[in-house]
Amino acid sequence: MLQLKKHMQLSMLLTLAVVISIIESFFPLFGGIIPGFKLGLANVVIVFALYVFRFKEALFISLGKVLLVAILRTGLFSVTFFFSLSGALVSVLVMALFKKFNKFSIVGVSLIGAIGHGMGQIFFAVFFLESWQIINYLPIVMLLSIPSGIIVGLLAKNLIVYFDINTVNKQN
Amino acid sequence: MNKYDFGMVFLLILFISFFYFSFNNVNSENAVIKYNGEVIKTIELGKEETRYFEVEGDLGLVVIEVKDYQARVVEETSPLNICSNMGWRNDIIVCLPNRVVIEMVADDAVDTIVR
Repeated sequence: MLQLKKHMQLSMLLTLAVVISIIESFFPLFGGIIPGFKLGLANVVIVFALYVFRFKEALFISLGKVLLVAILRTGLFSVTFFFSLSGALVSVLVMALFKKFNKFSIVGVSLIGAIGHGMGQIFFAVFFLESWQIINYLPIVMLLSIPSGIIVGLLAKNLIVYFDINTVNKQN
Repeated sequence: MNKYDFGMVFLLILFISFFYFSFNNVNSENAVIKYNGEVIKTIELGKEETRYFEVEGDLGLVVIEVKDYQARVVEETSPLNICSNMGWRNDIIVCLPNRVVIEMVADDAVDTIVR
């Protein structure tokens, strides 16, 4: 019964992440002045899952989101798909690692996740297109990741407080 | 946010500024157009008249306009049109879904890119 409840919760979170991601892509930030930049509100769901559940569940939602958004929007196994996948993977891995340090708060973990997301995407582009010059984008991507990572972290933190959830793994 | 979070923000800003100032090359005199990592064309950027170049990308033609030591993408097909929305640049333009990259570099750097 408990297992079923958890599966239900995970599928609802996954759906939420996919819907947020798709809706967000319709509204370019700052009227599209910074091309390709999104706040990454779907990551609120992933940070939330990382704290309410564990690494495995967060990874499931993150990869599931990339897969479903690709099927619905950009096409499976396209360049854009692998681009999103590398960002999402690096982001979740780095967040889980920094959470294990037990030093940073949820906002700090979310911040490093946003940085990891940008880095993962940039390094994928560097290796895929064999152009080291792409690394020129890194400073601006990282700079924009700081506010977006903090906003996502604060949202996730407030959601956990709002739902009054005892995070099962506060200690690790 | 705790003190470690603020420490991380501080370190990130330090790293970003260092990175920005060490990579920011001032004047690019050449543009190298690449498709899937292979050099398609090398263009001398100059002050003279506007020129157009076409490259075949994964999703269709990518039309590049060159003028006044700068370049921009005027026409391409992609889901988000990020590269054409970037406008005039003199560092780098990436059209990821088309696998097209336009690298703008200083004169002496062309040899290392073209090899």
